[in-house]
Amino acid sequence: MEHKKNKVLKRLKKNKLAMVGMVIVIINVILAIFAPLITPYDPNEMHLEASLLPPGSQGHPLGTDEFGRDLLTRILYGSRVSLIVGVVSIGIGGTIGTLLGLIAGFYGGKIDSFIMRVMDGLFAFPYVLLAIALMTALGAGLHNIIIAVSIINVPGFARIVRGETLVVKEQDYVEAARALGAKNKRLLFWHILPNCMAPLIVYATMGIAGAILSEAALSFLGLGIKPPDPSWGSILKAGQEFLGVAPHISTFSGLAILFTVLGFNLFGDGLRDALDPRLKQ
Amino acid sequence: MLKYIVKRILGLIPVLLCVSVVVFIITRVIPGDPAAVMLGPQATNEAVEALRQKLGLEDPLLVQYGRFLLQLIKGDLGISIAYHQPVINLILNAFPNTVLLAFAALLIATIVAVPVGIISAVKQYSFFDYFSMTLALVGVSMPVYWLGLMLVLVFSIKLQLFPAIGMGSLENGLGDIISHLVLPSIALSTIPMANFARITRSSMLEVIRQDYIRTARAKGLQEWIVIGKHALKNSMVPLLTVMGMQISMMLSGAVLTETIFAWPGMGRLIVDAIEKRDFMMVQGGVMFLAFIFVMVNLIVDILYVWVNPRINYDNKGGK
Repeated sequence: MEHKKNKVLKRLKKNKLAMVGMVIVIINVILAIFAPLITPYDPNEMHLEASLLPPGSQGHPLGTDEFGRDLLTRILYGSRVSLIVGVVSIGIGGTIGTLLGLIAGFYGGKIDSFIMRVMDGLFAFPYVLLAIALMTALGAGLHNIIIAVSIINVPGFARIVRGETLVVKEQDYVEAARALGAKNKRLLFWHILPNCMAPLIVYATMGIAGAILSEAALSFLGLGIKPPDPSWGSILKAGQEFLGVAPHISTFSGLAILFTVLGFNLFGDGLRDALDPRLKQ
Repeated sequence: MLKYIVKRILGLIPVLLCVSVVVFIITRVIPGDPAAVMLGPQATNEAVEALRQKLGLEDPLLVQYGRFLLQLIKGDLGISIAYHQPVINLILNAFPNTVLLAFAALLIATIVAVPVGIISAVKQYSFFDYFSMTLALVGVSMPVYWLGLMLVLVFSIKLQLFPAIGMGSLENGLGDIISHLVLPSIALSTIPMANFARITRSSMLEVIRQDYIRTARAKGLQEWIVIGKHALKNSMVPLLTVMGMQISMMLSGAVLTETIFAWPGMGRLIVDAIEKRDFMMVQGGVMFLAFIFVMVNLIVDILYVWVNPRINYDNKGGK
């Protein structure tokens, strides 16, 4: 087991793009945590006399927005929202989806049909539409975004884990454990789940990228984080109005989304190749 | 195969029922009284109450759901509160515009991605391969709404080449529609383009390692014939499957793209309806799109089994 782990890590380290992705993610996390130490400004503090300053202005390397708020500060604080939504909603949606997938795949029959039909029902919505509808019903705010993004991620995890469970439960070591008297709970959580982890980790990494995009999309549509609190999507939306005179607002906030999502995708891609080198082509 | 198709079609019934429950619940908990929204701020309490009675909003939820389901079966999606028109008419006006946008995006994505994927596979590990695949990964990570804004900034505001919003009109000639279509379809094509390029490359790589390709080369065929005639045909199967899936995903992308470019399609119709608290429109629109989504997925699943007869979808249950 240890040997296999080392092999995976070795392969991962060799993958330059994955390492670039990991560095982007780590930088993002550091910037989000230490935002108050990096910038002297409050993200919501207005200075109307300094509105729409271009990038490179004194004290404002990325310029200011229409209320004279420092754009770098708002983007740094906005990264907190993105990362929190990304990690927490994938944590919640992933856990629920994994449990449902395990149960569906393991028990099969009517339980499987029922769970997977409900999952198909949720999958039957274009995900942005489902998120929009949920946010409209729940109302704006960080907690509700997390709930909405968690819900839209449940079916994906359930499908992946169910598929893996179907394969793993037929393996000899599961049969052996069953013959030795292992109960279903033990089989599920000690023998099947650990062997479903590889695709799950990859899916979760990519899922964080998707969740960040979903949060930004909802905030862009005015359904997510409400102004004045900073979120990359809401900054982008506010910048839309000033696209002609102050394109830096939308440009930099969009680049922040792009780089963060790219970081998670590069890392996820590398992780997949490292965990299953046969997939690498 | 036929058994699988029948099973899948029957399986749609609970899925669509589940969709209808989700849509019904969500639209009923949307804040704001639809009757009050319909009558406007000047309406008296009595008038609002009377309208609530007329719309059946006072009935128990189960009764309301039963009525909603019966109407759905008849193809009646109700009357839009904001537009005072049958929801189905509004959908039938908007849906072709979304299809046009999605089709244009799919066309752009395919035209660009397939050759890029083929060249990347044929020249594996070359600069072109690394560059195009990195670019594809950037494409997958691109927020479509941001790309849309950047396209507007460069091509509408700075270069003034294409209009930024709207769909144009056939009365001004086909060129007017096409010029309005360029930017939104490019924005919407990015993610499928990136996915198509990646899938074309990987399936091409798999095919060109097969014995029959080696045989074709050994026969002395020119490389372009080997790739273009023998390899391409067989490597297109996974692409077609992914293409089907992307059509479904495009409906999601279209919601955002249509909002940015004020494209009068389904996405914009539904987002507008949410803003106006037009719950009949939201209900009907979401239900309609979910139905299309389910149907496309069904066709993709059937195609997938058809081209991969070894796949066994039966799960007879755990022990």
